[in-house]
Amino acid sequence: MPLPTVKRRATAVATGLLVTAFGLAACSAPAAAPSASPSASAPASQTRQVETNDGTVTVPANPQRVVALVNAALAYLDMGGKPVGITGVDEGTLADLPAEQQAAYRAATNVATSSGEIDLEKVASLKPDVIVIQTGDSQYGKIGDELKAIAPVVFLNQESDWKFRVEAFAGAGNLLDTLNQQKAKYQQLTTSIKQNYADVLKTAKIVETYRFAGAEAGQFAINQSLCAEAVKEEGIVNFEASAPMSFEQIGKLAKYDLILYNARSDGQPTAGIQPLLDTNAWKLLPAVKAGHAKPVYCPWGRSYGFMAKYLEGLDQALATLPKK
Amino acid sequence: MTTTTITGTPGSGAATAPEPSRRMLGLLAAVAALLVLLVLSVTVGGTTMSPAAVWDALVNPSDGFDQFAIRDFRLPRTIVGLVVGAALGVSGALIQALTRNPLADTGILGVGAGSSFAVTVAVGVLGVRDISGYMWFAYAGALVVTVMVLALGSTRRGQSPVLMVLAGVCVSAVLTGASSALTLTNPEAFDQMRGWSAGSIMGRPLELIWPVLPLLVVALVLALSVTASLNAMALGDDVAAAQGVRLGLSRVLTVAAITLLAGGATAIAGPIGFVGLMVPHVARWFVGPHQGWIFAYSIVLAPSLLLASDILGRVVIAPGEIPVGIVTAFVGAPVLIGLVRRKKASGL
Amino acid sequence: MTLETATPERTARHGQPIDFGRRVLVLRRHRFGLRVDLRSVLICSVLAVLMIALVLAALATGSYQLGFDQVAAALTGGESKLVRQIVVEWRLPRVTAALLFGAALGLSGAIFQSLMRNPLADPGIIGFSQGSHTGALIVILVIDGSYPQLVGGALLGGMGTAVIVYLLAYRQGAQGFRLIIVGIGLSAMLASVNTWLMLKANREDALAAAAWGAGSLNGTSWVQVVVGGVCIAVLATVAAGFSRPMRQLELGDDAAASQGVRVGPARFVLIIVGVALTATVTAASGPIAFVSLVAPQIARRLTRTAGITLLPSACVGAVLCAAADYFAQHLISTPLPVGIITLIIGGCYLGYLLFLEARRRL
Repeated sequence: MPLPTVKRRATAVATGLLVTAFGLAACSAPAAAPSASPSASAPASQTRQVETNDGTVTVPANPQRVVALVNAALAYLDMGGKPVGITGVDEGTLADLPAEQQAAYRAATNVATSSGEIDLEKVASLKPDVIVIQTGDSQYGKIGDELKAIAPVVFLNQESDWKFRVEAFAGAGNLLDTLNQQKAKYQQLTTSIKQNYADVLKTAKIVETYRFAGAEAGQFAINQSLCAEAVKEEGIVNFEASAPMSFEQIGKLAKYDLILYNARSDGQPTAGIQPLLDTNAWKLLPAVKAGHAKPVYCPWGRSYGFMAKYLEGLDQALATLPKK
Repeated sequence: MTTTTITGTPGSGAATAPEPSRRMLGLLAAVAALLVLLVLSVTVGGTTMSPAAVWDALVNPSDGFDQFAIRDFRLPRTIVGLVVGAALGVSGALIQALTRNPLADTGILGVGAGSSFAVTVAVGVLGVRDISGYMWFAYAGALVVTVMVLALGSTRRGQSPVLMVLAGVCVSAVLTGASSALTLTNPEAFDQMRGWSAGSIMGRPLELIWPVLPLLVVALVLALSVTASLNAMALGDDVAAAQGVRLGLSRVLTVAAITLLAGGATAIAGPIGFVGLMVPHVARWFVGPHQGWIFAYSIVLAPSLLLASDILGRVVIAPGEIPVGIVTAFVGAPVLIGLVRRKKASGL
Repeated sequence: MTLETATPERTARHGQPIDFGRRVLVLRRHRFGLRVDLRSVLICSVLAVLMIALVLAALATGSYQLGFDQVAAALTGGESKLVRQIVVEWRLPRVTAALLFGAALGLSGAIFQSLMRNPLADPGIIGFSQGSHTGALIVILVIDGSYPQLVGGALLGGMGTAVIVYLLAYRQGAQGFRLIIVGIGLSAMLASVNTWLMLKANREDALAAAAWGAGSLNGTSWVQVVVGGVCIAVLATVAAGFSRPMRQLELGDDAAASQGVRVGPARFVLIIVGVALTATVTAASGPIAFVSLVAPQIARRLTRTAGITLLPSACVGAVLCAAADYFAQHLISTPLPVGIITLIIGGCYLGYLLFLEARRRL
């Protein structure tokens, strides 16, 4: 029986921060160190306990064959995982990933039916040691028991806190070393941005514009990306509430000092945001004319690696603002 | 000598069509409403501008956020709304007359499914990303499907509306299944189609309209030319033939007009349902079965419905917008349901 | 007990020969008689054999390679736990569900087509399918509910819409015309809501919702089969009880009333049963297109009966759905939802109707 879903974001954040804090408290230095669970280099016969949205699950400590499903796929790849089975990551997102992750993706077997559904027999035929999945409760409710018959299942739902999630994924896949390295880099970036740009962050008005490739014509959104949400939770930038916006209302962005827009990993604007950048109104914005419109990279998935890239982009963007 | 005069009480149950003067008055009122909506469409939105500001933006173009909003977005969407609305209204009236079914809409000829499938292929297989690119695919898809439906619906003795409808539903089903299969296996195509299938008149630059406009004008001319034939055909094929109507030719011209209009509307704005069904149907309630009047009312009322929906979509969740294809059902359906509940609204 | 095959040539032992116009089987015992149409029985038997073949085919094919011997062993309790799981817990309930739900849909379509006296009638005209889709989308995309909530949402949405349509159309009796118009209006509104919800969701959620909307039997478990099966069995029994009034209603309300059928209650019960059958299937697996439209007509053509019959429609529906699910899984390299195959089958069927019509007119 799955645990009741953690619906209220505050509780989710508190739990996540508590777990992270507990893990960090067990470390003495920002360098990679064992987390609160048994040593990552234990022999294969040992097991590990992982917290999931379906209770505590016992997984092998050093699994060789891992299947990463639905929304867990990107995060798992980002931590350097090499799964044997994976569900679809589309070509556009894939092209932005580092070469090793792309290779890992292509080496895995795609077990999706039409995306969002999973071919259970294909998963079974891969004989995995552990299954990692992040999806909605209703989809999991339909196939959860079947998955559990194949291998231990680490299930996280859509409302779980992202830090809690990646801990679980890393624990399941024995990727805790990479996770801790990424976590350390993320912490370091967070602290450095908060310190170096303390004044600017207090006074400057910052907004992030985001537009999916498939959004309806003439619409975009502000502060909608998952990275913006995470940055706001972290207390780095006080983004306003996310909201949809029409191209007619671009003038409302005139009050912002710094405008971020979603881009690919090389800094080029995504196909989705390009129509916004092409409008006359955008080119008239004071922030754009002053060169304070900067790209940031945020795929639709959260992990320490993606967040670190976002923070690097944010860092460069903040650097263009005049120091007070 | 006694004279027997035959009198009838005015307004007796037998009279179904209002007198011409009332129809003309109604039409003028509808035109007035459309003009008001045109003005509202350019001025009202997330930011409301005065008509003077709009005039200034057109006559003295300069750089400014409001100016850009008016010239780049408000004006184009008003014009697109007018054109697309008129096309939808007239094509809906045509299909209802052609199939003698007041509940028909152009979807039964497969126009919508053909356009959607063509756009899905363009986006999913050929990687086209821009509306100016897949607009022509949509038009081509609608045309190809209609030709197919026409061909399937012909027998040796000419076209049969029943066969055409069957063919349309059949082709629609197969193409919809194929489109679903394509989008479900290609996430990027799925994303793009999500945006397109909402149906929107926003973000369509005027440069898109100009090439399509001549085709729409041709279609309107065709529609006008078959008005008399359609009136006759409403009484049945035999009566129409007896009156000298060339059935085959009229049907082909009608279908051609429907395809050009509905295909053009879908190509520009994406699939917008319900307008083509509801407006001619309601017009028929008000003016009776005369096809000319139904066209006249449809060509005025349909853009009104579309523009009113667009304005509403802009205002309700400002600064965001709801695409017009979604709002038309919410504006039109309650009106339709309210009308049908009126005791006087009788059967088909 | 006497067994007679009544045909025009043979003189019956009890009274005058009755020419039914076709071969029938008449069973009499004391005062009870049962008349069974031979051709229907034959067709249903053939379909039953087809069903068994489909079950065997479904059990033997899948992404996890298994031989026939392994499948047989698994059914009798041998093989490893995982193989037993795959055969007994995954493949068997899936094909059973396909048969069961297909039968329910065929039955539902038969009821609607008989009541509306229209071969293109479908439960969807009262806005039911859009409503259940909206309910499901709200659960998947808005509240991210659990699987039982998804089932409940679909049921509530569908039945709720049907009720609202009925209430809005009711004005001293619900005229057919008003019902259709209100159904069209409400369907359009709900379709818009669905488009909006799909537009605003993120891609993964929207894809999952789209897969549900296409109708899919992936991951069907015994729980769903048993719960659905019980509901369907109850509804089918009620339908069977009303099958005679249903046939009589096909002749017209007045003719039926003159034969003692209580028209109002009979029609009401039949509509409820028809909608409930579709609701059960939609709640369990999403809307599966066209089976309810196509199955009764195919059954009618196969058995050459004058009107719509319930049992053959159910059997054809079952075979159609199971075959569609088999092809959906194995036609192309990635499995598809079963609803897409039934959609294409429906289109081909309509094309066939077209061909017949055209041939008739030529």
